[in-house]
Amino acid sequence: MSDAASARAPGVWTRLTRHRLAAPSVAVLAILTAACMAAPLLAPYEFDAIDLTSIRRPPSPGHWMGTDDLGRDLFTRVLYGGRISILIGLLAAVVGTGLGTLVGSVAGFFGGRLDGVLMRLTDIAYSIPTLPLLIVLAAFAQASPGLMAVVIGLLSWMSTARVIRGEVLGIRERAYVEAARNVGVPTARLLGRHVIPNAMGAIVVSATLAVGNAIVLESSLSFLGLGVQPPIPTWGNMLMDAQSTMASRPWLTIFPGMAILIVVLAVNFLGDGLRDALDPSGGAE
Amino acid sequence: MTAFILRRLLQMIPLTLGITVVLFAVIQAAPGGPEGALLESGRFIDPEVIEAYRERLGVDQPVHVQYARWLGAALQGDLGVSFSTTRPVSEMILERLPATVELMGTAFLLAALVAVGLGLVSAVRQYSWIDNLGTGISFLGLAMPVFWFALILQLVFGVWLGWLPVSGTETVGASSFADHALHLVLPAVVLSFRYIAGWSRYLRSSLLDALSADYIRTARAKGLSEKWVVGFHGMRNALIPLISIMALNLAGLVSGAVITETVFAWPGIGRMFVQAMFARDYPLLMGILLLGSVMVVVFNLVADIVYGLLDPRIRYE
Amino acid sequence: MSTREAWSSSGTGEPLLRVRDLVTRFHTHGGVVHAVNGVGFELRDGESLALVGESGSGKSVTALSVLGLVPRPGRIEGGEIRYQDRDLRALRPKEWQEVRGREIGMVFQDPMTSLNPVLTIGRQITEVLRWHLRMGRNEARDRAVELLELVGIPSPERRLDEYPHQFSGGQRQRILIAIALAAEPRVLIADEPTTALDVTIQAQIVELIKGLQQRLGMAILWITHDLALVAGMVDRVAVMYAGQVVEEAPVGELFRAPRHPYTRALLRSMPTMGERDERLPAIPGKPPVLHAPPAACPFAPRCAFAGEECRTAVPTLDTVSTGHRVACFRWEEAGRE
Repeated sequence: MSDAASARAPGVWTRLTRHRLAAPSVAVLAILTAACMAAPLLAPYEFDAIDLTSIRRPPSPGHWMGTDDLGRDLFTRVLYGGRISILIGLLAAVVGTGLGTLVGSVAGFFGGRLDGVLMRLTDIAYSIPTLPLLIVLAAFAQASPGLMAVVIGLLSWMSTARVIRGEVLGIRERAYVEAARNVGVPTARLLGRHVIPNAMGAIVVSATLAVGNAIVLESSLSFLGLGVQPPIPTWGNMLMDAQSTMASRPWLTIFPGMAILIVVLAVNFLGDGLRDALDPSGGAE
Repeated sequence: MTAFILRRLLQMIPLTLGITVVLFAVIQAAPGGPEGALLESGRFIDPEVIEAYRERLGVDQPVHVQYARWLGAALQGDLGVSFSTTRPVSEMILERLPATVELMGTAFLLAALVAVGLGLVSAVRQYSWIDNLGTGISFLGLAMPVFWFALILQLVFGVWLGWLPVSGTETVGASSFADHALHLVLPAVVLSFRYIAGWSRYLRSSLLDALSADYIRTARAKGLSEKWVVGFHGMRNALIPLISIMALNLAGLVSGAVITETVFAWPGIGRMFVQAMFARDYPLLMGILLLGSVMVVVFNLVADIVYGLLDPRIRYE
Repeated sequence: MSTREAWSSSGTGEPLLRVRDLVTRFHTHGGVVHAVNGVGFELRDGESLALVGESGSGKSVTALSVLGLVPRPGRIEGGEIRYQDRDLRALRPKEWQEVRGREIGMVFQDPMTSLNPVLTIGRQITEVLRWHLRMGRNEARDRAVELLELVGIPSPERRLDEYPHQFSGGQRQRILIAIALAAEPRVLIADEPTTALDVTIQAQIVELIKGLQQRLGMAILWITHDLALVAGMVDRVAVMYAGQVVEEAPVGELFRAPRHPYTRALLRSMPTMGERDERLPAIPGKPPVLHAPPAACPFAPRCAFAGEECRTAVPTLDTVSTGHRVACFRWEEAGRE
């Protein structure tokens, strides 16, 4: 994300690294993501290694975050769970933002009836409560992590579409786009070369915030028992397991939840920072 | 104003129809369609009963006919018959509705009160500790999964401190108004949290906007007290968009109630929805989803009307 | 500074409002902006004084300073503002409430944004009456109708329940004047009340205020960049440049015998009635934005008569004839031309 941003306007990366909240967030995200992706290398145990001699241990030097009912190391599982949760978040954000960008830019660029139809569709999709609809969809099929991500993405494009449409409406009126259109630059090229790159700021911010949203949605679904199924750990299904034993083994509830909270907070801070960095004037369009 | 409302009502019709199409498509997308789910539920063995259901669903008809029948029935309040209880879905929903409305209403009032107070103080005392607290809450409200917040509150206030009950609506054998109110505290706090976060920041920024406006300077030059200038002239302007956002968000509380009711075993529609999901009770799922969607559309309209009523510039245009 | 000298005046009796050595600064991220640098003037009962200057000369900030309404990050950092026997700089919020609106009323530049858009104008007028004069609901309403009549709003009873957006710009300014005068203040500060209006409306508003002053007898501090607009209605004129008063004289004297080179240029370039250009084409350059207290005559860079002392010292405001004061080292040479 930072690459796209810095390619667009020099100085964005600099502004981002000076942002009070975004800068530490970038560091936290980088470290956590790297740690989760490298889970097989870093984790002290196997994620499904059952050790009946050390079940239900509170945090200790041997098990930093304690162990669960089967003696599995919680730290290991949080790392592995993060891998799935973060990947789902990223993939869902790509799908949702991609679809949203497509719908928004087409609607904004062509205007007229097409715009009307697409925006009514967006209204309809907006009106159906996302989580309950996801629950119904999830009830049909036991979701693989990939499918989960795609479905979450397909259900969260609406706000991106609205934001991008607004951006594109503004960009369309600018002189150079007018000029390009007048000299007969093909529409697809016009969109790809002139309109989308100019809306990139809004797209990047949208995508960043979508990652956080998707992680929360996935964890909520998994928590209800509808998402990714055990034994593959995700932060959501670990919390579902922990719920019944919360009173006696609170660490099982606290650590995975903290992991979600920290990652999503950092992602949201980053999104805020990107918004400020990409648009120092504070929303000129 | 009447023309305005009528126009908005007319606009609602295609929107609502679109929603029903999507929801119907979702049922059809189920493996084996509604029929498959019906057979799979395993509750029905008697071939005659199954045949009656098939008849009712119209599974041997073309899809658009099925849709028309479903829509026609839904318009008459007939949302079908539950696969899991064999009772009419509408009846089951009505039965659970009061609990959900009670929880939503309490959470809404709580969120409105706290958010208005917090937003007001945050704007007037910018960058004070209260303002910083508000900023913190707003980020937490967006980043923290509702269910985890619920779990943590249960852990702290239920398990560790033992101050508050963590599930159900009353203590069996010791029910009283106070007992019921205590059961309401944690779910209402959880459900309202995200809205406190959003609304308080919204009010803060719209009040800051208002306070930098020329008419506030006029009000000060009149010699009015600062309290009146901010509390009446400023708030009167800042609250108008907030109130319409509140109306809009009221519908979203339904989604929030799904998780909150489940975690706190609150016997409302949200919890029934999750139970229906596990039972693969499609008529019930669809009924609740339809209700939720229609609520979104209706509250959209309410938000517009509220805005029109409160802002004279819109009313007369 | 010269403002500490004895005051000459054209009015009679003790001044109602007295400003001395006023210093108002804005502490912005880009540095300190010295908006007002030692302004002084006096306003007597029933008198009218115009503060004239280009935009950025500090005239509006001076007006806002008098009522304690300087917006952040601005701050009054020096000088004295006295209303009768009250030190306005030392007022507590509660005491300000007794002065603003009740003793000193103010009308602002932009009538389109100065009225609260979500309250009826009746509400915005009666509010003042009920607050300051402790009127009851009906009494206040009757009085509001009279006030609207006074400022020339037709069918006032009916219009009392309408909202600002239902009025034209000129009507809104009339309403704002009604609000400012509702509690019968002894001083009216009019901060460019016609700038945002059409040419024909401008003259109407000036006439309205002139007429109101004759009937009600309040003193007026008129802030404007347009000398021609107020020439016929003020008693005295104080010309401001870069946050200072550079010349002050009775209006007739100022037109007849301007002393300061800036005033002379201002008069030469006097726009025909109503023209809204705030620049002075006759003088090359533009007024400076001061980031430090002035160390020389701020007009020197644009002045044809500037000499060595003009670039090294700040001229004081000295009396050159009765009621006429000039802050210029070379006003005699300038006057000979």
